[in-house]
Amino acid sequence: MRVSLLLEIVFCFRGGDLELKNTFAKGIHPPGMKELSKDINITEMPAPKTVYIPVVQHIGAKPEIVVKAGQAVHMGQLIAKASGAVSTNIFSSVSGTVKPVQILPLPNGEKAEHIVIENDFSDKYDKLPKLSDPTREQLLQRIRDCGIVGMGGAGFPTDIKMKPQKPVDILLINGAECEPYITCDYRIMLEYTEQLVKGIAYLMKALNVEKAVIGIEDNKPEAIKRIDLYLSNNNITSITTMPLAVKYPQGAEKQLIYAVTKRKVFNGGLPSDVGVVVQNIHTALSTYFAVWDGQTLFRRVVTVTGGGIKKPGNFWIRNGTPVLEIIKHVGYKVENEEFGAQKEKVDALFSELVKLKEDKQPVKEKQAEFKQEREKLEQMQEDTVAKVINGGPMMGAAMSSLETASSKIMSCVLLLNHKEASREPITQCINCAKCAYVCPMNLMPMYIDAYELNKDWANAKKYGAMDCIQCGCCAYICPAKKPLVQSIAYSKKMIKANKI
Amino acid sequence: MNKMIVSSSPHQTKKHNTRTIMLDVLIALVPALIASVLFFGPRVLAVAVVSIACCIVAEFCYNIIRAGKFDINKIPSYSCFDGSAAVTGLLLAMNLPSTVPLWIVPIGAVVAIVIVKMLFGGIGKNFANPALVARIFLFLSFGVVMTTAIGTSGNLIGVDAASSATWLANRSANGNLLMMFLGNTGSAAFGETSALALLIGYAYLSIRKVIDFRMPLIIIGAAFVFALLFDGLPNYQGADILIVSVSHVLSGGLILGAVFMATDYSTSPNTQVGNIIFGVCIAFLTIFLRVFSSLPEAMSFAIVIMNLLVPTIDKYILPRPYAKAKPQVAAADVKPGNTSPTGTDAAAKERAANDKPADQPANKQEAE
Repeated sequence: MRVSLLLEIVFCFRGGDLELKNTFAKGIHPPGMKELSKDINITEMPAPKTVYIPVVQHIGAKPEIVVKAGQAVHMGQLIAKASGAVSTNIFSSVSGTVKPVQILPLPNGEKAEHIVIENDFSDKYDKLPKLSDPTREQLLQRIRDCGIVGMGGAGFPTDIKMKPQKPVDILLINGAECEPYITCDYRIMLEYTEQLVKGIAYLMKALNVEKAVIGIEDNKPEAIKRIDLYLSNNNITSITTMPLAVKYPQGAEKQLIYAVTKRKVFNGGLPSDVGVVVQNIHTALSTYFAVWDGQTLFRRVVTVTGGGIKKPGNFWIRNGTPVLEIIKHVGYKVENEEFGAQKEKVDALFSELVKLKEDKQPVKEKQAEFKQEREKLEQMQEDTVAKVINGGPMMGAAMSSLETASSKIMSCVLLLNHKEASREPITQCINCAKCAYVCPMNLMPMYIDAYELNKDWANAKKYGAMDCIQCGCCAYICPAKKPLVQSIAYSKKMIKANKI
Repeated sequence: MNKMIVSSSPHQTKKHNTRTIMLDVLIALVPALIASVLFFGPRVLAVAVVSIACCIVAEFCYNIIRAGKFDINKIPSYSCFDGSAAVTGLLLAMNLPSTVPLWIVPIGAVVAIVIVKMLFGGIGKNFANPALVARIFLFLSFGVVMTTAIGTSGNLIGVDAASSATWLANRSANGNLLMMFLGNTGSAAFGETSALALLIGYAYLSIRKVIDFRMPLIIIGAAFVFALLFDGLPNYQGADILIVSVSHVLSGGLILGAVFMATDYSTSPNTQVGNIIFGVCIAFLTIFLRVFSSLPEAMSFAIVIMNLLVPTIDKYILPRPYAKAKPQVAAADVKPGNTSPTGTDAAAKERAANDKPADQPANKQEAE
């Protein structure tokens, strides 16, 4: 055993992994749960009868709606125009008639305008002209015209990202897909390999770099093999793949950059400060379709999965598909009248039982009846949706309403039934420091949480609240089940509000 | 209208909680308990059971008094059932001689649970290791009773282990290292004898990731080095140096303290560098006090002294930030948007847009 490795093991400050060869320090290893959907081919989810396309599906200014109620639109037609530099175009995902705008909740709970279009199922398609050998300016314009945004979940307009302020020498493609359950990027890497690589080539030209690295986690050997095969068959040397250690959050920007290039993005900085730009796999694929085929961005591959659902899978879902339709397509149930009636029965029986106990009356047969009805309820709860998450279990947002619709940045719809969604009670912090042990940004979450509970924002900032990437490692490993991410996110908001 | 469960991310957590961690510690102590029964007799079990029961009862009484009223529905959520009282009880028992009169045990339990832990805020808030403070309290207050209690009650194998004096009473190079490793030797507390059993517990805790496996190694390694420096090299020659140093490591509560007491969550520092300093200082203090003071066994004092210094260590030793910020940062041309989706891109760019003007007003004015 090398002496240096021995010394590193003993005095290793890195907590967790002993070798940092293809990974970053700290982090956690949640169960992957990818087997549910990783071998399922991407299929087309049928377009719903009505789509509710959110006007805000990105970071940036709200685009202006350019269609009116009653107007007929085609699939792929512009319905909201980007307003300003940091904004994006929105396109219709079906052909049909525009209805009046509705205010519906977004996945994070905020209400926003949604353009409602009634589908006439004729799928008349509007495409832009194909580009065969575009220049950099043409590429950037096409990326903007087709409304390409960061499809990893953040939704930053790609054409702005391709024009960074600092000089950049490498393009990183984020194929890590570290979140449990999500497999959409993996399926794209397997089924659309050629289009993906060509899309990466377009992105390289748009960014004006000569080197691109696709970072892929080790648990996707098929994808690595297939991409490598395509690259070697076509003698492409400017793009390479790099297998990364399987760890969460390997796909987080700063951690990915460190793992691939060993450069550190300082707290508060951007990847372009260290000469790197990171893009998601799906962004590259959509860029290819936009340039080669003139397709505007109105649909995306979404993984619909969860422990209890019968038919999980990866689907091409049109923007604006209500989550209720998605749930119905995979055969999961929502709380209907039967479920509600059963729940009321169980609640009524419970209160009757309590009353009988207070009056000191015999409870045996009532108890048996209660048990039977409760078992029936639990049976129904097994394939009824109790929690819908936009994204993965670590960083996804739980949706409060089934009227929320899919968008360019919804990469996964995670459906959990009652048992999977139940949470353990919160107990007192035992000062174990496991949260600090796993934090990939070297923060001290227990201190931030303690100061947040005391409303001491200055000290919360001192222990790193603003540098938190909200990955969820700390709350995942906390034995006391404290909601650390919620606490830190709230501190961030208050620090900004109080301008500390 | 369907009602969905909404909560903050992450939506799935690791399947452990405080109780399972405490259960793991209890399981890790079982080999040492079995070894003690083999060497000191079944009375050890009586001491252990009484100690655990007294600790749980003490915490339960404290919970009830604090709750004010007797509400039977709230009782399962009392802190006495989360396992930490049981762990304190077992550790306290392992720090006592095997023939300690049983009336002393509840006194120790009250000191450990009520005074050291509950009065300061409960689990996670104790200022020192409860079992060790109770041990020191008992040895200082009931010194005569404790030292005459070191006898045997009929052990099951081997030589009369407990009736022989501990190696620390008169240190020499004649210690039988193998016997000390296995545990067949005298000791002031029945939990400390068998290094082998304690190391089995250490292996279990490391595999279950309850403790960081490096901490006890650092303490034991540093103790060996300090024993070489303070006792081995000055006083002995040749191979005796090593024998004496190893004897130091194997005797007294060193391994028990290193594996179970120094790694206690709330009384050890929260950073890795802090833990290294903590461990090295514990090793230094225990060997120093053993060799140069009149205390035969100093591990408990060393750990408690360092426990008191942990808040200072935690105040000044903080982890390095992920990357230091460069002095000049150009304000990005990103305008804040109407939505705030989560994600690293969003956070970084929003911060770049919002924070730079607020954080560095001097720069902005300079630019203007």
